[in-house]
Amino acid sequence: MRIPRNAAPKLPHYPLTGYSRRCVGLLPLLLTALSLSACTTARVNHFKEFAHAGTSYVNAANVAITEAGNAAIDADSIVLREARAQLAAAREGMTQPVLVQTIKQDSQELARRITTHNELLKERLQLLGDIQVHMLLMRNYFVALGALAQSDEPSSIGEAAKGTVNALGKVSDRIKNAKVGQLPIANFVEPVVTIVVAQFQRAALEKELNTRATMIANELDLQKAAMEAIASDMRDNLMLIQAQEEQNIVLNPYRLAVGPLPTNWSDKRKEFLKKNQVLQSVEAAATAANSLKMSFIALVENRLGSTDIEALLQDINRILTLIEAIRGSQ
Amino acid sequence: MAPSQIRDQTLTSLREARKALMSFEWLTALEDQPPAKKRESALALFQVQEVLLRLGNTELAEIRDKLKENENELEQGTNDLKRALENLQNVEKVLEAVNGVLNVVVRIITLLV
Repeated sequence: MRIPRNAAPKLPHYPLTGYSRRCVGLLPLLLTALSLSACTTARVNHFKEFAHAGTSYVNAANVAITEAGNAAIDADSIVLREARAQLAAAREGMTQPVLVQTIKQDSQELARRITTHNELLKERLQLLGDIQVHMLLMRNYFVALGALAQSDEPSSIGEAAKGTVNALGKVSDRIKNAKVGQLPIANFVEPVVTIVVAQFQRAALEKELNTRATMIANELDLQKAAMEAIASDMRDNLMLIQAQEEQNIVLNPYRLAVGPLPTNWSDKRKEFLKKNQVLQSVEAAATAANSLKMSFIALVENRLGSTDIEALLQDINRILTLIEAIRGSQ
Repeated sequence: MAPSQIRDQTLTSLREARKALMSFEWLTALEDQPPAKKRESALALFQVQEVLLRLGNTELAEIRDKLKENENELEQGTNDLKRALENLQNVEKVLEAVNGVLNVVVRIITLLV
């Protein structure tokens, strides 16, 4: 059965005044703007979270790099001391003329070694310092990104716009009395302007992302490589330092067959064995750099979730725990 | 094998060697060795540590140089972000200025009426 074209029920017709027409016309715009608002806020928040995580990473990594430098010096000192002690042990039982000659030879050897090691360590500290300086630039970038993402300009601009409408209301009753639904127009101007400005904010953030995504991805890859190299070296140096501690505090007193053990020997042994677990956190520095890269990819692909950021913050916390433990043991 | 892989493997081997030359077992075993062996061990330890430092520095220098290549663009990005923030702040300034003018206009109109 065909339905006649004119079969639709007639709707009651309410004539609209000029103001009412304009106000009703605003409603779809408002609804669209409000739905855009949720997306914009979520997206801007992604940038905010990423910037916050990036800044936290740089701060933690910088402290870790300082500790890596300290560990390199401490480990080198242990090696130098040990090698020197072995040279001294090698001279035991030598006859006087040979001993004099060997001491002279060893002194020259030790002088040459200490000079070389000092130079190499100075170079190491310079390199680590250069990476820290670079990380400050990276920190500035994250801070600027965070400042733009966290800016409350959209809301303050919205308030200013509301003020403008209120001031206009003093000039004209028509503006003052204009309403959208039951509410004065000034109440709507603020959120709409806020949303529009937030779109500008988001657009600026997206533009930055589009312009420099490749460079930032490359930068984060290099950060990962740097932190892997630093962490790997640091882990071995810390292990060496701990092994030395174990020898001096736990093994040597115990293997001396005569005399009683120091009264705090058991406590020191327990302390040492527990400290070993902290070493596992060294990897956190490299893992955090990798998590930052993963978070960045998620940001680019607009799927950055709280779990990405949480994982990254956990790695950052592990770096801080490690540093606290290292500093606490000194 | 890529040069970086060779270096990584060498670094790992050297770290193992250093650990062995510093180990409790090695030092205990060395006690009974003739002076020449003790001397040899001391010099090997010096050498291993030196090469470790050199290789580590080379690796870090390479990464540092690559990081430096990004610095101009990183600074450019920071400046662009600051400018975008300033632009947002300028919108507010304009609106504040408009408000100021409107308030004056309102006062004049009130006086005229």
